[in-house]
Amino acid sequence: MSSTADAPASPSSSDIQINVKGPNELKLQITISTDKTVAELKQAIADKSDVPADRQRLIYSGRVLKDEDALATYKIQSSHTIHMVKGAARSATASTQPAAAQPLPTMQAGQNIHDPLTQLNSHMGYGLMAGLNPFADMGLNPNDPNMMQSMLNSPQFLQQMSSVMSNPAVLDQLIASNPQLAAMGPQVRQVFQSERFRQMMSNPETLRMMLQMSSMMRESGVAPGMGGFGGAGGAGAFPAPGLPSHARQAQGQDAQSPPALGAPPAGAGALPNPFGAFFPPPLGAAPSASPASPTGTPGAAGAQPGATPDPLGGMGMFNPALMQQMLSMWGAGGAGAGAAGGADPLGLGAFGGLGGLGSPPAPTNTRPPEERFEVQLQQLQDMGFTNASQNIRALLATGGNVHSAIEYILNGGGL
Amino acid sequence: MAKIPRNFRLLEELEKGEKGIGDGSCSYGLEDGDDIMMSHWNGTIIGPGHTVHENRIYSLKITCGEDYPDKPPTIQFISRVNLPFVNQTNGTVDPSKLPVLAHWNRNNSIETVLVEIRREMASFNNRKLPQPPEGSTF
Repeated sequence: MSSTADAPASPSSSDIQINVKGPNELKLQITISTDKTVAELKQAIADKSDVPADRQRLIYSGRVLKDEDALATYKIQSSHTIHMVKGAARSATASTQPAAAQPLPTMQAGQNIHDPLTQLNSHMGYGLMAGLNPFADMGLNPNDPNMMQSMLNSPQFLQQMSSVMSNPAVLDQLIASNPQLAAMGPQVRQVFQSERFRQMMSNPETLRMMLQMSSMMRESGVAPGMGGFGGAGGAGAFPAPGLPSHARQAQGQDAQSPPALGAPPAGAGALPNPFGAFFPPPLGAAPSASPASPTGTPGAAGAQPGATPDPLGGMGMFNPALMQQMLSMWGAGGAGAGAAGGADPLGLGAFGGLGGLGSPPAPTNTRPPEERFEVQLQQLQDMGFTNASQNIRALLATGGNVHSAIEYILNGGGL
Repeated sequence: MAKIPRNFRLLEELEKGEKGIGDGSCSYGLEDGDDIMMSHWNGTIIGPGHTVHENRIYSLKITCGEDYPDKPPTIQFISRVNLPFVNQTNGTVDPSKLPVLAHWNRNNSIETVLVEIRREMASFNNRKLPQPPEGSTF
């Protein structure tokens, strides 16, 4: 880059200044020797823009430039323009799926925001993409958009929930089975055993209200940025190894998504975090979710998702930032914020614990997505979406909802 | 009005192509810079967004005959693509099925052809057509 350093090595006559035009009005001027290869040019572009070299595709004079060719091959001259297109990473295979989770937030924007289940599933999709499906062995299909609904409507489930919560032995098991819960100490048990918590767990109305709240929240402009973030929260809500509870607390404090998830920081960082101060580290937040908590509803909202396996978790209800948004919207006080924070790790536990409980007798679904989504895949195929792997990814991301899957595909997701 | 001779016209187009005028969704240039007749061109079309073509780069060959621009160029896709006006065995574009070629006038250019093809890709009937795997060629 520094011309003085380059000058002796390469004759300045072969240095050309090229214009690079990219997506979003991106315009760059790059001075480079024609001896350099296309790969080196891509690197130079990557240094000046946010597009990694392996995602760049360069076009000059009707030709796609090949990485290994020298620029001279293409007879590019000074002041000529190269177009840059952002494509999928070259090594876009199943193994790189976690990285490919990034396009999901965009898809979120294109989805039907009036359909709460769509949202649920999209975030779950996020989690799935990250390769986390702790529920597979639980006999629950987190991709089933109807699961949540049927669970809400099933008195057996609610009853079971309630009895589970009142059984200290089960609680022990639950707590022991989840290192994060265990780390939180005796307060957890208190919370679980609290009358209020149990009530919330067994009240279908509360559960439903939460669903509504979350959809309301999305509509109220928290949306696109939150997409990825909510996803992150969702993913974080899985009993993910390597994400210790204090890290999650920290996550709540600076409203940052865990970088490991590859969630775009945009939006997340921009969110105001007026309640950051109310999260006393490391786990002081937990007890405030106990019956002593004066704010019934917001607390309830936070605690609730813990009881129900995946969908709610995926919803981003665990996302502390979202909780804060909600709380500030509802004008709840600091105690409420505490409750929310406490509910987060709590929910985590409940959920990880459920795995060991052998909860509702749902059909085991360990079949591959091709089989599971056979009907939907056929539908997509018939509609002219022939990229089978993209279809599968879209269906996974949207929980088998063909309508959302189409939106997802049309927005370029899953490629 | 004086007619611009073929080669002047093509030189103009060449310069435009190299400078990359436009949004980059279509690009074209001489296949071989030493081709003094400027007959053989490469073109690329970046598939329009929100269609099955999104993020795909289609390469095509454009041949400007001696009668260009009085007669339209011949177009042949190199990248496999499923469009009603593209011959599915060799990728040639059927001029009678593509309005811009069927109703050619000498003010049209290589750029207009590429832009029109791209527009066709985004048309209601073509935007969702099943497409062969990306990267395959005729």
